[in-house]
Amino acid sequence: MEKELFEHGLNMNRRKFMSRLSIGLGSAALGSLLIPDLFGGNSSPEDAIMRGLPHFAPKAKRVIYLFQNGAPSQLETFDYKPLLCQMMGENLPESVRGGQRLTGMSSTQTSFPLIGSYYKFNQHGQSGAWVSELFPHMSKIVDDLCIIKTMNTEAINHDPALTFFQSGAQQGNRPSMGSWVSYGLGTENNNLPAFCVLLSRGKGNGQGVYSKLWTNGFLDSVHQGVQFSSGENPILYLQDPNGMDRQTRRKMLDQIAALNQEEFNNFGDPEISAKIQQYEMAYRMQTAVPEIMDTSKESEDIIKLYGPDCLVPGTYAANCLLARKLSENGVRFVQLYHQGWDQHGNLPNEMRGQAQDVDQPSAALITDLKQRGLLDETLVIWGGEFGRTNYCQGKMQVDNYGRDHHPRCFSIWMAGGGIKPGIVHGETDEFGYNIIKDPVHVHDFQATVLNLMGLDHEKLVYKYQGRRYRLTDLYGNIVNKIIA
Amino acid sequence: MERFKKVVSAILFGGIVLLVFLFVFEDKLQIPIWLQVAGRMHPLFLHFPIVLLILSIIPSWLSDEINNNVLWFYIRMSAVLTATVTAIMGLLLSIEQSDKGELLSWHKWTGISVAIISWLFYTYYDQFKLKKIYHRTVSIGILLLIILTGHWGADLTHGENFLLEPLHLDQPTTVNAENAKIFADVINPVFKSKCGNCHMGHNQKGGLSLSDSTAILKGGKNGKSIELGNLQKSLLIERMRLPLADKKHMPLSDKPQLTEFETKLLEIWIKSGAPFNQKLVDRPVNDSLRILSFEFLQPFLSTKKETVYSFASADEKKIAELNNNYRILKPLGVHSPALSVSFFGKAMYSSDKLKELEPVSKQVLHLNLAKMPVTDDQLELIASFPHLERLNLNYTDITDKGLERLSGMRQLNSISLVGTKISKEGIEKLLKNKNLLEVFLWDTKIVAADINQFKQSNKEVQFDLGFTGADTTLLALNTAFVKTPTGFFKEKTTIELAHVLKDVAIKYTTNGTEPDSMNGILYRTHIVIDSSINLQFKAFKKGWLPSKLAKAIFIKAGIPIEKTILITPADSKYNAQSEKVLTDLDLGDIGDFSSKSLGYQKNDAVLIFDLGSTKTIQKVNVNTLQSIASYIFPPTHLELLGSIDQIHWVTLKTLNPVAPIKIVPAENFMYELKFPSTKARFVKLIGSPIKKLPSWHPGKGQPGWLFMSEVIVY
Repeated sequence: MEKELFEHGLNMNRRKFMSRLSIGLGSAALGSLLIPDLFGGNSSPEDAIMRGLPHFAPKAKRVIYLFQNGAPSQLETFDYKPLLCQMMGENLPESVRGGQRLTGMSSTQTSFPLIGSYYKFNQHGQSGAWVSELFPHMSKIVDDLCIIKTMNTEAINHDPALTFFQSGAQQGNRPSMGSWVSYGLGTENNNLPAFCVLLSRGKGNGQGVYSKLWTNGFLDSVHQGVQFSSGENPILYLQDPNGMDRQTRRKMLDQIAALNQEEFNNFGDPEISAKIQQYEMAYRMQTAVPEIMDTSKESEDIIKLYGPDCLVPGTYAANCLLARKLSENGVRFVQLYHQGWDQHGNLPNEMRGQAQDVDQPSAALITDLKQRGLLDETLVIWGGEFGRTNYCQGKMQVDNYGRDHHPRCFSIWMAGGGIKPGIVHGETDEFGYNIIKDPVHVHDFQATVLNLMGLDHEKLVYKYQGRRYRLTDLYGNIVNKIIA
Repeated sequence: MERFKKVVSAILFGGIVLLVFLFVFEDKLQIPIWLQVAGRMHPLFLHFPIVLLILSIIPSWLSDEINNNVLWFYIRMSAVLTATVTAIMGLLLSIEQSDKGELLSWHKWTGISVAIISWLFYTYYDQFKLKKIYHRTVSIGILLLIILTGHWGADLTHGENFLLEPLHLDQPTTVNAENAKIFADVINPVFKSKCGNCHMGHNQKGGLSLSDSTAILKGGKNGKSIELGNLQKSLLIERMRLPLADKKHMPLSDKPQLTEFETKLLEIWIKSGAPFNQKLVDRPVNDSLRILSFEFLQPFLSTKKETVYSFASADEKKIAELNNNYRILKPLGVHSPALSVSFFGKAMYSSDKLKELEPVSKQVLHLNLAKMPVTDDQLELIASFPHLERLNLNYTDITDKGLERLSGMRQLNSISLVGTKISKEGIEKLLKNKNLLEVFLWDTKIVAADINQFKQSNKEVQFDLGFTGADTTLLALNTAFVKTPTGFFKEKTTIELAHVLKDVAIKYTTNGTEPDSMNGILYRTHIVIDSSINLQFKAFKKGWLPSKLAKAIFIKAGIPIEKTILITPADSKYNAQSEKVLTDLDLGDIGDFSSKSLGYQKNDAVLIFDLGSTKTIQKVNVNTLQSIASYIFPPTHLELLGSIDQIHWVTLKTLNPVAPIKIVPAENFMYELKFPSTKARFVKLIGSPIKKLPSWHPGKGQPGWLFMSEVIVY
């Protein structure tokens, strides 16, 4: 106890003391007026959370998010709309569009001709869910999936929509979902980061991804997503420099730690001890990461399950395999991005290529997790940032057309930890333009993901610049219907 | 002064008499409208007597000297005056409203008491003052009365429990779907949240209480609130359906309104005969009351019962002590005593590390030992974890012998044995444990036939064999790749090929034909070449379909070119900043149009290459980019001319390449222009981009592009 008191004394340096003084009694009184529960049982939401523990028993321990960057069309994948084929070429009724704002890419079009899917749909599995012929492998595991057809978002362009999905705000600089989970639950394996990011690119028209999508925002930097690259050094700056062996590195770290410790004893800034921890973790990662990246021991079964590209670094298949390995080793949140889903034109052709990239590996990931007994505790999500219009952008041919961005409805799927398998949630109208039942807003989706991880989205709060922030901002309803 | 006191005393006496009069005869009185205004000022005026009365009781704790200050007298006097006036106003207000709730009557009684007692206190102050004890008793009495009156009054205006409400924040109570009752769990919560402030408990405005079935059926002073099965006659619904602006609309326009959904719910409830004690599940499946009620209950339905454990939490210090970088212990939730334990780092594992968990063995519910060198004897220890539910032993060293030890674990319901050496016998022993629900057996010796056998005696258990179709799945291999640099070489080079899979046979050709099982050379360790080749190769492996064809160009460097002269400039966007890119022995990247090649669209490419001195030449290779999807086509016409002096030109070769007839993958395309040996110092090349894209192309009718990337003279 004495030690703690002493440390506390050190922590109270002059500046902190002054700033606490200035916001002393007066602000406490004012605060209790503004924040009714300030003097209630939970003194403040941040304190209410015991760092690194779920708020209640979680249904999923880990997340793998297969982000389909660029926004795959729901009308060629999971949302079957035969009416669009019947009404091919007819103008989208204004009553259906209902004043939806359009992007600059199709707002100047004089007509909005409806266009049906070039690809055929069939019902699959016991659930009888409709899946397009683009996804033969996903069709086979459809009874493990929960397809949500009624996702909707607020943004109509890639950057804001992506940022919104990841951080709950369109403007950026807020923590990404993985960072929130890392903040709320901490890492499961102390030898690996809690939040890892893997990128791949298809041949279709692509949109950029950038590190702001996996930023820690205002949270501590330990919560930032760590990007694994496909090159020789999967994590930059992790390797020992040429000519330095592990012994030397150990000695160096020990010396730095001693210096840092001294500084900590003098000054007592907790950031310093965090820094010491981070150096140590990086040191342990030096052995943990190569072990995970090594695919040479994967059996022929696994290679056939994911497809042979899973051995080609940097492909979506390889990233799916890697995601499984990271997740198996206790990484809380693995975020994949597969670029190339932005089909403004040449849609049937480009989507075929994109689907070939992702179909088998995505399905394989589910099968692989399941056969290891891990699907129960791992939540897998597949989907893009918005949907695509039911009308054609640009010139229209039956086998060559484009679709513009559409925020009002799109399809994603979730599977595994705590998700009801083999169901289709929500309904869209027969034009595939509006939602008629059970809408799921991005914030609802985020609230649900956090809930499955054992986190209350209303309690997972961080105070920054005088305001309390949540992933779901002021919104979000848990979608109980999809929770098992 | 004395006169003034007398006048005030008289006024006060009159006021008290009026007060008592109003109180006794309130039922028989009609209040004129102008007086109603006075009555309604009660909530405003009441703040004066509260403050003044509290001030006026202070002297009972002060010394007589201060006490005698005349200021206290004025305070006391104004306190009683305002108290009396406020009480009269309050009575006027209550007569007007004629809401007879229990709350109101308490408020009235205490309010009048305050006025009368404080009047007595004022009038007989000198007597009270004589003895401190009287003085203080009456002071405290007044204070208590003020508090009570104020509290009940506040409850009247703001609704019952207004004061304490924040402390009783409604916990989101969960409801069990099986037991949910229509009134208690659906209708009553609506009443409580939207009508409860005025029509529940002691507060019964308009004489209406919605607390229970008797009160609801009785109705209020305006009539019956609900008429079973008849919406038109149900006052409750009528009031809710009135326009918001209507004075009789309920809830009052400044109070939270019922949502359309809630109103509908109440309507259907009344239509269905307002059942009170019925359970939701007892109503027919398609009944709209049942459907709407469940929709209402959705957020409260308990999805899973929170498990209650029979054991206490382990010592927090012990947990912290056991936690390290390779052994993680975490509670399943904030207040859960149950622990989940995971081991990481094979090298750091030993049986001691498992043994150290003994102090928390009661609390461990999930144990993950995947990939740790766990042996059979350690399973003995695991078997002593009484509450273990999930056990992951994937890729451990356990065998059949060890599994038997787990057969007595009462709580174990999920076990993963992926990639272990266990066999059928072991599983049979394990299955003596009748609590198991899931067994994961992928990558073991167990086959589907075994599972069918297990299933016969263990119908409850889910066996997962995982993906077993490796032998029957025929997939195409991915292509092999060139490990060594491609493109240009001088004199001689060594080519190495590789494939990501093991045991793959690679066959190749250099003559432009496609390799297959018959045709082509089997790649061994490397290929050595000393002239330009167009390498084509394919991968083959047993159990797999052959890969797609892959191509690579290897180009031997030719006669050095001293200077390149662009007679026609390249397009300003695609001029690569320099004409040297045509002779830099770098084909560039196929997707990168702008840095290693020159693009022409509007005009022909006319280029002159200066060899420095007259040489004997016999061949020129022209490398172009071809990317049909990006509008980059082969040239429609290529013409090669030679000259010694740049004045007299001789045509050496012309070529009219054929364009593809559909979109094909982008590639570097090489045209070989051979001609009889000629002496020349200058070589002129003319290439024509396509003028109009063909009709099948998305950009039909528009001009296409020609991209030159490298020119080599031999």
